[in-house]
Amino acid sequence: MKIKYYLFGLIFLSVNLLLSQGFQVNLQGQKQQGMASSGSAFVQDESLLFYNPGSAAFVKKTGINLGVTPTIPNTVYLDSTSQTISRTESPVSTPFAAYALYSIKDSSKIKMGLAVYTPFGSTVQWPSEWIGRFAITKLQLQTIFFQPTVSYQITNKIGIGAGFVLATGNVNLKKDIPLINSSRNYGTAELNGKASGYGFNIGLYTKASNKLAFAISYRSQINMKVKDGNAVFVVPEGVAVNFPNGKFTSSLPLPQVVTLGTHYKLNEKIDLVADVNYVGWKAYDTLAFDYENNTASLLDTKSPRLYKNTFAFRTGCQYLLNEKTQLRGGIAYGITPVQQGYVTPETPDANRWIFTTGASYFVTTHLQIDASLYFTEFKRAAVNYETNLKGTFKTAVVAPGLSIRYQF
Amino acid sequence: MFWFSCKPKLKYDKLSSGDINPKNFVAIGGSGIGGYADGALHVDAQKNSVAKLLSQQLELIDANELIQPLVPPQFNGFGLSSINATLVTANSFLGNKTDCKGVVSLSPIKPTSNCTFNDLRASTSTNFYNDYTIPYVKSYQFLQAGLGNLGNAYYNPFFERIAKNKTTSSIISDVETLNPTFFVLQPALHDVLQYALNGAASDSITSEARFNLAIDNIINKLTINGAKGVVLNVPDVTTFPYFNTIPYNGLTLDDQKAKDLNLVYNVISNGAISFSVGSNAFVVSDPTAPIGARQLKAGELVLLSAPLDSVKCNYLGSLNPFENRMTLTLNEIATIKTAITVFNNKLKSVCQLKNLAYVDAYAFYNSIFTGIVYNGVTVNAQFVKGGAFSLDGTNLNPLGNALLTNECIKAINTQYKSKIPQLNANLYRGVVFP
Repeated sequence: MKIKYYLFGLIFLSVNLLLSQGFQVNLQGQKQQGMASSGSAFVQDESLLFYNPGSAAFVKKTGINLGVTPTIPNTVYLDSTSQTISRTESPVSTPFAAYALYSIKDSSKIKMGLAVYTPFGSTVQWPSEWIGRFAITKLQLQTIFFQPTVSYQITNKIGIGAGFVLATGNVNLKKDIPLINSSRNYGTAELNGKASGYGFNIGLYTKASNKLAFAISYRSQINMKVKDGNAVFVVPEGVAVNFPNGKFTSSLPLPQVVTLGTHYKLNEKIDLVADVNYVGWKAYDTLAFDYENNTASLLDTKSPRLYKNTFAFRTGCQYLLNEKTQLRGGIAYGITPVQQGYVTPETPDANRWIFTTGASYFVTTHLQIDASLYFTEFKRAAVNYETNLKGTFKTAVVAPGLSIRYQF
Repeated sequence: MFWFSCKPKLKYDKLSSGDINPKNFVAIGGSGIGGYADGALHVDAQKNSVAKLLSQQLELIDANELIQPLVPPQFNGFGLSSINATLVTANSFLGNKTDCKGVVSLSPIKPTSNCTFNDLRASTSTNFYNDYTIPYVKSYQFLQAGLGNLGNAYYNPFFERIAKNKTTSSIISDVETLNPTFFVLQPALHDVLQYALNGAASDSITSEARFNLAIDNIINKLTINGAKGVVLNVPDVTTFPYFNTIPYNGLTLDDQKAKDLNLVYNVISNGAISFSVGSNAFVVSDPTAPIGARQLKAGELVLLSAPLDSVKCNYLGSLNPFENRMTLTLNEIATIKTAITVFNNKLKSVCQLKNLAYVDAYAFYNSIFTGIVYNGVTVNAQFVKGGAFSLDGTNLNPLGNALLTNECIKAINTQYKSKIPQLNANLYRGVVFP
């Protein structure tokens, strides 16, 4: 049981992948979520700070927007050789998004905004004695991104915007160590650390006509670095000296994303939108852990991830039911960045279809309530070259969301 | 508010017994599949033996339960250092041991046994058992009438425990009374293992003629009524940790000690035996060498039976050569390997002829020797650390047994088009650490 090769040939990154391939979770605005997270060229509300700060330049009025999207992921794993089924016991996560957009006057060309959101933030928890316990038992990831943003209308047809992204978060992961003590308990390893990084977000919006608009936006790669993580090992006393507790460092690239979006106003009641994301997952090549105190049993690890760049295609429509009510629907297809041989229990990723629906209601002219519902289910039969886990993962994610928006 | 969820579903493969009827399942074999581990037959090892684990999976397709002659709970294990031994020892555990130099380290510790040889012999009854895994049995001894009789030339006290009739029963004749419909058979481990464990200094490898005859007889008797079964071949025993824990050049010397030894050996060996600072090959008795001793060569093996305290404090393996029984020389290793190849060729051809599932245990043990990764766990043949072998360095522990059981299941599924799920081997322990 040489622990060294795979002890932390790990993980770290997960939840986002449960939701959609890659960083493009886009559970960041209920209106877009209702249209399969497309709509970067559709000027509606403050959440454009995330989707395209260029488009945000055309949002009228000062407003705030607070939303939350409880996310209920469930993964089941069928080990192909033992026909053992394991089911995640992951708790519901609650990614939130808060946007504030300020314009001095409604007609101001310049807007200032602040977006605070949680592009990651959930827990993958496998049952305690599952077959992959020595690969992973729990991964908890929490992040908060702060994005101050400036948007500017160059002309009445062209808007640009840019934001600075400060990312903070923490990661907690656990796995069992295949060393058993006389009470028949296996060892455990727990890594805990704060991570931080920064990046930026820019966008360009252009109205081609009264009916047609285009947008292009770019989110930079963010390298989340864990500098002073704590590694804690609980192992049988007789081998404790081989597993010294101590510091570790690691890092994880959150990939760059290019998004092309379009909005077409079919008629007074119907809006159509489509977005394409190109996600630079190739940056996630290796997951490395560097331990301060190395021993023969606890060596630094480098686990290949070999992700590839990938696309997601999203489209949706919005229907104005009456003056106060909008209805939405959307569909998306995402291509997985995870190549065959590198699927892991914390990221049981696959190509997938995504289905969403949503609605908005103006309570008053100032107050609007938005809701959305996200669903996806995907399956992947895989063997992992590093751990030799071989089986089929199937994941379903339901994410109902609600936000409240107030315009001054 | 939103506490509904959506549970994805996956379907199990359908179980199928294929071409076999596993109802009357019988396990027949030596210590390798029967719960002898850590130097003794003991309950934990029996309950996690290949025989038991395989039967549990076969129960999924309606096999009868495997009833085992478990070591009674009041006894702490039935260990015999050889089949002729009468001193019973308990199973080893891992603990801190102080060596002759006062250095404390983790080592296997053998607790005092709380039972006698007669306790072992009397520790059971003629109840129904379908677990006929008898430690130390060699191929031709499966057919030996009276194997459980104290006076018999091949007397085996483990068989005496369960023989239906001590004076007349053979293992196979008792098995025949059970009308097996399906069996697991490990017929030949000790035909070569005992010789290897003795450092090729005593015991002997079964001759090819005797082996072939025995195998044909056993298989004919087991299959005469149409029973099907799974047969394990013989692993390369020289891959076991028992032979690979102490390196041939494990004699570590400082400058002074190397000089001292050279002073002695330069004179008597005329330079044939010499030492330098660092790793040195141990010295072993060899009557064919000019001075009756020589240094070990690369590829030769030192057995775990070599007393390490004597090495550290009494110049064993240097001033005092290792005895031949503590090592395997290149020639002895070649003899062992050749015999294994011969045995396995025979076993394979018999299995083909009789349409029996053939488990390539040889390949399995070799893969463990190289190291495998099973669902996130690296398992190899390193002593204690490797996880697969028990503390006697020759028998597997529960994790190793589960992995070997999976090989049996694969072979059965392939041969008989059955669909029996493998075990989740991660539910079975490796070495227990204090």
